[in-house]
Amino acid sequence: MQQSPGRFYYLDNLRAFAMLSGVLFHAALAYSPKAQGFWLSADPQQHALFDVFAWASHLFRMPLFFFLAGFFTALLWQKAGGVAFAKNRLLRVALPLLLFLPLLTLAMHGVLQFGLATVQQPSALLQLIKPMLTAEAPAELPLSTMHLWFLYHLLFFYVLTYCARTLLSDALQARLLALPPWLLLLLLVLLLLPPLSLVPAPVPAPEWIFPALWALWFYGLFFACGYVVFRHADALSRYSADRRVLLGLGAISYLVFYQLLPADLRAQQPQGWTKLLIIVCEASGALCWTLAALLYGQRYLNRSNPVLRYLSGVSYWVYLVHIPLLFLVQFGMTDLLWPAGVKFLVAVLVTLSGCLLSFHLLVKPTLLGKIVAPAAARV
Amino acid sequence: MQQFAFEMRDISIRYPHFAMENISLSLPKGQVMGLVGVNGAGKSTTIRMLMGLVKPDAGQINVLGYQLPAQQVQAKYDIGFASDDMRLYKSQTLQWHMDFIRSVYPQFDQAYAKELLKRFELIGEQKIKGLSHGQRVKACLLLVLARRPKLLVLDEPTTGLDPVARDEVISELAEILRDDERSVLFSSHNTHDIEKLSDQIAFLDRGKLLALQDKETYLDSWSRFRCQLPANANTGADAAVPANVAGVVSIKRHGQLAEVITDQNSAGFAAQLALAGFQVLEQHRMSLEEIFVANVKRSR
Amino acid sequence: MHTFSNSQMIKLLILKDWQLVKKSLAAYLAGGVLIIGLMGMATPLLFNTGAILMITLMIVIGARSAIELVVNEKKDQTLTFMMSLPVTAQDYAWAKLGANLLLYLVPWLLLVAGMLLVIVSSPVYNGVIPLVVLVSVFILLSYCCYLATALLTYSEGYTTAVMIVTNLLLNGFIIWLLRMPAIHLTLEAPTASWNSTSLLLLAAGVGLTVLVLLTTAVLQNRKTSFL
Repeated sequence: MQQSPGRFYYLDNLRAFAMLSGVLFHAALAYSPKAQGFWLSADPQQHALFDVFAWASHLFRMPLFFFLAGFFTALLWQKAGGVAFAKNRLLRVALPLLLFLPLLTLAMHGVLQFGLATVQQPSALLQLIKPMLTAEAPAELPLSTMHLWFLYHLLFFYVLTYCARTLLSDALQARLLALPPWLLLLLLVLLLLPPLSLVPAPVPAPEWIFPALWALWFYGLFFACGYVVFRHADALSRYSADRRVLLGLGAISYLVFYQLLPADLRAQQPQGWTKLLIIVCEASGALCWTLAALLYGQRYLNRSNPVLRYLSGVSYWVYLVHIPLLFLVQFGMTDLLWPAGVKFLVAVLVTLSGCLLSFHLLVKPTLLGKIVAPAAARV
Repeated sequence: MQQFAFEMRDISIRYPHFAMENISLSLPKGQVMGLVGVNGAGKSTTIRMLMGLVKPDAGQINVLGYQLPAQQVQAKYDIGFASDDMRLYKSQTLQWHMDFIRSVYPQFDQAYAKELLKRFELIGEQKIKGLSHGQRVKACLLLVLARRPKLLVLDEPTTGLDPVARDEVISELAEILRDDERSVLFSSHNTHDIEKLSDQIAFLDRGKLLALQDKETYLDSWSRFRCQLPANANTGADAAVPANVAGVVSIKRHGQLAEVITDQNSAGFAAQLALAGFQVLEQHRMSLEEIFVANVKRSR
Repeated sequence: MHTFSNSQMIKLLILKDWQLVKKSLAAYLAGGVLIIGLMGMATPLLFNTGAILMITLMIVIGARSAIELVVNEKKDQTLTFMMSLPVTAQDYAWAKLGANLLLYLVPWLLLVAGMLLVIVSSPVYNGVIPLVVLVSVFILLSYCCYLATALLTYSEGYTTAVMIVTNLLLNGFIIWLLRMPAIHLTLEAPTASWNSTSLLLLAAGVGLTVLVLLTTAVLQNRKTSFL
């Protein structure tokens, strides 16, 4: 298998970063006061720092991921052609989705039963679903793509990419890129507002069996940006000198955004002007930090060594399977009186170790490795 | 070796308002035949039969050794056909059409196509809907010529072109025909084009074949004489054709002057006219157009 | 018989037709994703709007492909270009039939499968499945009717007339179905309940579709000339 060219190392590394920080995000939610109302493994021990950390990463993690997905879509499509691209994506995206969604659903079911049986201080959501899972004839839970929603939506993005390639001319890209750089950013922020207005803040996971229109729009814009940047490298690099400004703008946006979030995210969302301010901050924070991540990554992460290669190789697998293990560990610790920080560290370390162990036992030596781990990881 | 590029024998075909009876027409290999006739003379029907698109009610058609319409698929690999009512796909580029034709005909000559593209001043990436009529005709010709067909069938290729475009197309065609040893059947109601390009002339009118001849012989056989009539001659416009002069097609009188047209021109013809009392003032060679008109008028 | 003797050319002609309509298909595809996204917003209004848009899309795809691929070929005089290729009238007719069926059946099947998936996986009563299937088959049958008209007459007028008539009949058909006790009594059932009436209707729909296609094929095969 071919490695990606050297100048794209930072994109591989950023992708691994986006995936692995997803594990931290999910782990942190259990100790977040704001997420108490809707998170299955919510823990009695909480600390506001987890909120600050979790929602900051949530702001730009998936936008960054979809930006990278768009970039690699353009790269692979150009390098291999449409048919090879389709085959590759079926193998690397559709197949894992079909394979792991049922397995993960089953595993989650088992983990939930474990949680219901052992946890003395169940979270609000766990209490809510208890009657559904323990009744004589269990009601069917709505079909969910769980945290694999991003794979499901990627498939739709590939279809839409085909449509756009067939229907849109390259002139449109050139015309947009001819706009002054800051005007283009403003335009993008404006374009991000309608989808954000449709959903509560922070954006939920679009995990229903239907693709979510807002998610197609919101993440689609980042995907399209990544796609365009592959063909016009300067579209990104012209912001290079402004990376500190972008980082700062993102931070200010996030601060305001965080201040305006309700204490309990399940509660009534702010309406009217407050809602508008929230989504403006959410959009600009997401865009600025995504760009900042790319620019800083380009500067400091554009390198390859065995550790980075290993991380980018295992990240996909780790992200695919981490949820049931994470919940298992957290259910096991719920009733302990350890401080939240310790629980978080233990949860993350045990989950990562478990995922890595499974990688070396189940993935690396088998066919699965070809699907979820590129050759670079197999050093 | 097959001697004829195509051979139609005793063809009859009947439509409600049009019929062709017992037409026999053949083209020796390597020759260019001009098919002349007014609109509705049967040119297109003849060509469609040659392409296997229409089945005659009676008669035999053989094209490049293939029986039509039964073997039209094999035959059409070697026939290049373009007509004035042929259009390309507006939404696609000329390059797309070239790729499509190349996928159909393995013998498609890429280098030659490129050369033609340059010669016709066409742009491959341009969509067909942006082309002028003249450019479209050239595009059609390019697609046909680049596969180097053994028989080229062109149905009114210059119809609807402005004079400049027509001249360009005809000049290019003449150039190309000199280059290649191709058999060509070329229909037009524009006799100038036919005169310029053809070796053979076939005249069709109302479903009948009026003439089929080598062009030079044919043009030589027609002539127009301006004559002075004897002073005592009958002054009626329908002056009797001198009975002892064979081959008079028409006589037009203006007072004591007469214009005599013949299709059997020879040294002896003028002498015969003189014997009949027609004093020849001038003799003109006729253009194909004049012959065409005279011929059609006579046959009606 | 010339039928299928020229399969390579038939394949090339179908491929060509696909290239001609691939822009339209991409637009329908994008529209389909949008509609699914609308339905996914899970309000009853948007769900129903999405369902109506889906049916509309299905009709539009059929109408456009019959017009673009068949009627326009004659109207735009590209038919003459096709005739000059090494094909017989039958080869050409088979290619047209094949291309249209392929280019319509694939989106049709995707849409029907998508709708069924939506119904099965969402809170919508599975009892509507027979209705949805019957209406979809009726749309397919309508498509085959105007495709046959287009293929046999190459006339825009006749084809449009058949389109209008079949679309009017579709409304009547849906109302007729809904009035049938065998259909409307089971609409809110938790599972799809096929009974003798709905099965008979399904068989009739499928049978008629096949009959229309076979008749078209036979009539086309009798043509001896292109024009």
